[in-house]
Amino acid sequence: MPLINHLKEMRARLGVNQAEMGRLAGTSRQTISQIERGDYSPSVTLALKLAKICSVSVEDIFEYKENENE
Amino acid sequence: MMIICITVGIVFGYTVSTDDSQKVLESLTKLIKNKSVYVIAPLYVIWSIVSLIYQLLLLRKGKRSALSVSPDDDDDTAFDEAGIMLEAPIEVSNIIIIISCILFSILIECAVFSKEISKNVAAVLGIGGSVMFIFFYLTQFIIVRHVIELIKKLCPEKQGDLLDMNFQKKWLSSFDEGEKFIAYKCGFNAYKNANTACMILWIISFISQFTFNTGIMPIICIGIIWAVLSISYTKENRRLEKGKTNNTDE
Repeated sequence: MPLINHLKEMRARLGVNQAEMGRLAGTSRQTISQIERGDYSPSVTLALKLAKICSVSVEDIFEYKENENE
Repeated sequence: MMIICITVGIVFGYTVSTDDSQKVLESLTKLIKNKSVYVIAPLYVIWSIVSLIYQLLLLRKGKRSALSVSPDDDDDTAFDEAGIMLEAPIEVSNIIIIISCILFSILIECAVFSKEISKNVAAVLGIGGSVMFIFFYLTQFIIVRHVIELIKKLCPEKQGDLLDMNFQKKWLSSFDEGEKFIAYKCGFNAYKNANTACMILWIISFISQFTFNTGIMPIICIGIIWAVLSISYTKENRRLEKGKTNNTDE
């Protein structure tokens, strides 16, 4: 998976659980859980929202790493 | 796959084209039609009871795990597990209903056409089977509605009531982008599998119209399902390609 995220760390820093994070971002707890697990890549809108909530830039939460095979 | 099916069809068709083999197949069909009532009737009763008990057990398990967590809990893993447990009765319900529909149809067919049973027994089977089917369908509806209410408690953003005619629309509109992504992915996989199933079933029904005298009705039914699948997919694909893909909502 080339998209690595630090949402869990950011959320821990904020001191909120997945449900609260979901509420703040206007999304479900399940989607936050999937993003954290790396099972789902969020849309640009949601990524920007999450970055705004955490008061960081999108790149601080989501990191794109090229595959070594590519 | 296609080549295998065609080869099987040719071999099977050639084999049954002789008079003797056709007689054997005809008597086999008659035997199945007449005697299957002795298998189907108890099987239908056992299936209904066992599947209902199994589902109630799943519901109890799901309910217990759903009630043990609250939307504001910090234990995210427990919340995920509760969600999976709670969805199990709905997943099982779909399969149970389909199998019950098939068994009920065969039971009624047996009750009407079997020469082995008297008219009174046929009437008991027909009425009893119908009552059982309605009862079974109602219990499934109640179970699924109960699960949906529990899911709504667990995920307050979810909306919709199973009694509402627009339930599916409301339920889907309360999904966020992650859940919609899953729903659409599942829909596409279901479309792919249904297409393959239609092709296989068409081959089977094509062969069976000659071997078991099933007639053209199964072919027409499969054809309609196949056509609805392809047309609705193409129509939606064109609509989305031309216009909004709905990922810019909000």
